[in-house]
Amino acid sequence: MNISGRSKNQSEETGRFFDPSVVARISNLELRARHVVEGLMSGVHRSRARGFSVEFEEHRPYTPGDEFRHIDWKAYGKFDRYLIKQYEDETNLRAHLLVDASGSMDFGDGPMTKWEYAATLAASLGHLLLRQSDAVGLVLSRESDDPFIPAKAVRRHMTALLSTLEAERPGGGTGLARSLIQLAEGLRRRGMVAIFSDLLEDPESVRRALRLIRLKGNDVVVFHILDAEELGFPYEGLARVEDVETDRNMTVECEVVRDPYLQILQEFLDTTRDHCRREGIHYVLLSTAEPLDRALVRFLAWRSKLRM
Amino acid sequence: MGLQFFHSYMLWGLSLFLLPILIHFLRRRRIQIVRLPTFEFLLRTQRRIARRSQLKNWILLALRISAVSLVAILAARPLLSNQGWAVGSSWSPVLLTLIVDNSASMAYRTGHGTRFDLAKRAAERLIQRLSPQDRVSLWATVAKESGRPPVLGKRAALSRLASIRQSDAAGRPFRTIQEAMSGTAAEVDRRSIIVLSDMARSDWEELRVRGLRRLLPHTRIQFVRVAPESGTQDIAVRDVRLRPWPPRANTPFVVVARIANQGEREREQVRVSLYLEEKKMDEAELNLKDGEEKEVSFRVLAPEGGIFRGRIEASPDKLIPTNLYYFSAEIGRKNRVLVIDGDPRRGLIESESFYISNALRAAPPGGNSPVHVEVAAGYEMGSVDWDRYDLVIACNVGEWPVDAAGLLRRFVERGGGLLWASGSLAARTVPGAGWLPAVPDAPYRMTPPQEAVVPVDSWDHPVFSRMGRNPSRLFSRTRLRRVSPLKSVGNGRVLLTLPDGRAVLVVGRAGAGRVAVWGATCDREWTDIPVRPVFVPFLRGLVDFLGSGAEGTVAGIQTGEPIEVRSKTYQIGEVVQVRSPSGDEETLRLERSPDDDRLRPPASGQKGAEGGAVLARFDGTFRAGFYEIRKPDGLELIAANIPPSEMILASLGDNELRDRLPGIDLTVRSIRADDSEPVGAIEGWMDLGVILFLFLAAILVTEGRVADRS
Repeated sequence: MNISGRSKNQSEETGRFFDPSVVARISNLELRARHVVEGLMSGVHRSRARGFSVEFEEHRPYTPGDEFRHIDWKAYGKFDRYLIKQYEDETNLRAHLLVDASGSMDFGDGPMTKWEYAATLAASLGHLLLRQSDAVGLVLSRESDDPFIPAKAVRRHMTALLSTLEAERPGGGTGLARSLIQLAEGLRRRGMVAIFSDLLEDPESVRRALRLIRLKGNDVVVFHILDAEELGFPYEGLARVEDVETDRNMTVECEVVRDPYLQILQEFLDTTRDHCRREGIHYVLLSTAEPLDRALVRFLAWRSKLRM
Repeated sequence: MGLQFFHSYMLWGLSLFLLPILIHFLRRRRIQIVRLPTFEFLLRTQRRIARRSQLKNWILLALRISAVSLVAILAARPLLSNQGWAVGSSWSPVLLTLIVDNSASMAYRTGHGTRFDLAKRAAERLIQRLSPQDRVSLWATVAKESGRPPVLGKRAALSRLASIRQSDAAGRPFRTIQEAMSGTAAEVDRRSIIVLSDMARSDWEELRVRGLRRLLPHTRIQFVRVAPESGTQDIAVRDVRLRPWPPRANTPFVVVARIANQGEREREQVRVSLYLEEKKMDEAELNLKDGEEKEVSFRVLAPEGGIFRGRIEASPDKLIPTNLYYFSAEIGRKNRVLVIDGDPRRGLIESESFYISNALRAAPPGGNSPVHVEVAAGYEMGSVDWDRYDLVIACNVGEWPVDAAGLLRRFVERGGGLLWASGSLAARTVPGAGWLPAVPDAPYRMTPPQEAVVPVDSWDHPVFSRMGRNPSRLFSRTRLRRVSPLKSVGNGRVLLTLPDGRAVLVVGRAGAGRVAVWGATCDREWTDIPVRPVFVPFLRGLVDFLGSGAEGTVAGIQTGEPIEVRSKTYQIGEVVQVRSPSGDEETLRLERSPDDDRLRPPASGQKGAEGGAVLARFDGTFRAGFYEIRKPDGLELIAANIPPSEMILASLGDNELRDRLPGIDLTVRSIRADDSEPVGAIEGWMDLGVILFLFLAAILVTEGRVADRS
């Protein structure tokens, strides 16, 4: 696959850009995102597709972060509310990035935790989309009260995305299914929803929520992020295993439980993948040890397939 | 079937079974803590495998404990006995280690032969029961050959059993067991040890716990008591003494035999006979209560010369060998007497030396006098070589040259005899004051003639041995006209007195020698005794008594003791013939003694010891009787008798045996005289080492597989 237009050699040269251990050294999330995207796009022929439309479609309430110039002052005079004029075909794509900020994401033995990996990946994708003048929004999935940043296509919007991601500290229980349903209900237009999560919630709830989003006509891509330790269970001997989100713990003989654990994990992954395939959801399983470009490349390949 | 352990102390290692549990807890202390988001999966995992995992853990624990315990058991070397199984169909060939007691006490007669015969029959039955694959190691408690006897097949073992003979020697069962144990150590896993013995206490006295415990913690020994019997009967001749020792040619000597009733019943009219050169010389009868001991004396005339062999024989009973006692003696040379005449100036007729010489030189018809007499004057004492004489008669010696009295005393204390006779000169100066048994009590004086009297309690004294039963009768016509009454001191014994009881003859000891003090002269000056018939037997008796030294215990050996024939170094390589009582002859060669000591004088009193540095050793003295040793320089006769220990029939009780051997797996059973009792079970041992090792390997493999299985 040569979606990015890079040769193999180029890929090797730029591979260091996506190595999590290298990326992890960059403390600033924006720099990380740019680092990843620039590395990815360094060999890609730029063909910026614009396609603006100025045909008014509807008003929507003003939310912090919206540019003042988009406020419809006439409507303000009429309704005494700040309303933003929205135009049809304003952007090529309206993408919402849903990043899981539950406690289970704050885990990782490698250079990056799952949260850092997900945030970096989400930022990189947002950067990539904004470069293409696509509108990008952000939802942080918490146990409750999810922060939401509406999708915009201006480059300055990236600052709001990044600051939200950087300010977030994962913790608490998971609320992914609820966040997905909320998002599905909030989306007025079809677009793309990219989910960055370990999906460690009741699988059935998550599947129903994904199905709901998909039924609303959105293109959905799930970046299923797991740590290498979760995928391999490399522990030895006797271990007391504690749940990162609850107080539960148990003592196990690692060698004894490894195979059954991996079997159950594989069943979980297979079931999730199958469900996504059935629902037309693009599913990308990622390990925090994998280079970050893999996800982006697969994302671009998926997008290009959709446009054909 | 029983289980025993070769190194039972290693079983302490079984406490190591706690090791796996300990390791388990130590591992729990090193538990790692893991935080995992996918905890739910793990929980489901655990639910799925919980029961299986628990079961597996228990299995693993059991396997590991079994493995550790097996290692300890293997180190203890377990042996499984197949006792009680049918012999001949056992799982592995048996090495039957049979120890047959053939010591003298086994000659005790039962209803069907001796105990030894019974033991042999029992051994034969045991061997007959063996299968063709089984082997026999046959040991006798008295055996000439040292070292391990060959391991034999059934037929050869029966043949060898038949060749084992009853011995008159003391058994060494304990050492035999030790040797049998070490000799069959390689076959420890299949040997079965059976001891057939009367368990006579004397033989088993050396059985000690410590010595045996080192050897036998892993072995079961079956003791088979052969024909135990209560109310045993045994008259034993304990020993024989000769007086004087050595007997002088043609002189009477007394054979004193000590007879003991070793049995548990009173015996009446026990006949005791004396045989000299297979000729019955005398006989006596006595009654003996159980445990009682009496002496029997026989007075006989010694042969002309050479070596004679004698035997005391008591009435036969159930243990015949102890009814016999063999002795031999070499007729001693003539008594060498030195007569010192303290007053030789008188005429010959009036001289003591005249009467003494004539009395001692008198020979029996056709014979020679047993006494060699020399005479010296008192003033010649300084040049006397005292060692050339057996006896000194000092007659009326009034003056003693310088050191002569001291030399005389040393002569007596080394075993020489002294007859000190009084006289007008001697009564004034007594040389032996302080060591003689008597001293003059008062100055000599003239008395009305009085006869000499032998006190009744001295009638049987050896001095009067030639005078019949009442020696006083012979002295009744004697007259003592002048006398120097004596005062007995120390160990002196009065043999003659005046009618008023004052002593005139006192005998006693000084060192190893004997001394007699005579309160009158040996001529006619003070008494007419020298011209009376009593004088010759009286003087001969005195000389025999004083010159014969100590009462002699017949020398010899105990059966089982080796005979060491020593000879001069120039006879090295020459042949010595030994003829045993059974008529067997063995030829030995004189070889250099390992403890060559040419300067060492011959060991006195040691039979067969002739001094020098060459030696021939004969070890086969297993029968009581006479052993003729034909050496290059002559014949020697050695009497071998049953050791006193073999005369003790009391046996070691079962409980006493067990008390002496705590911790040893032993069984004691008895077989009766009628052969009706089973002899014992032949045990085979199986070394479980290989089986348990394979089992251990299987456990380890299983453990590995179970541990690897998730």
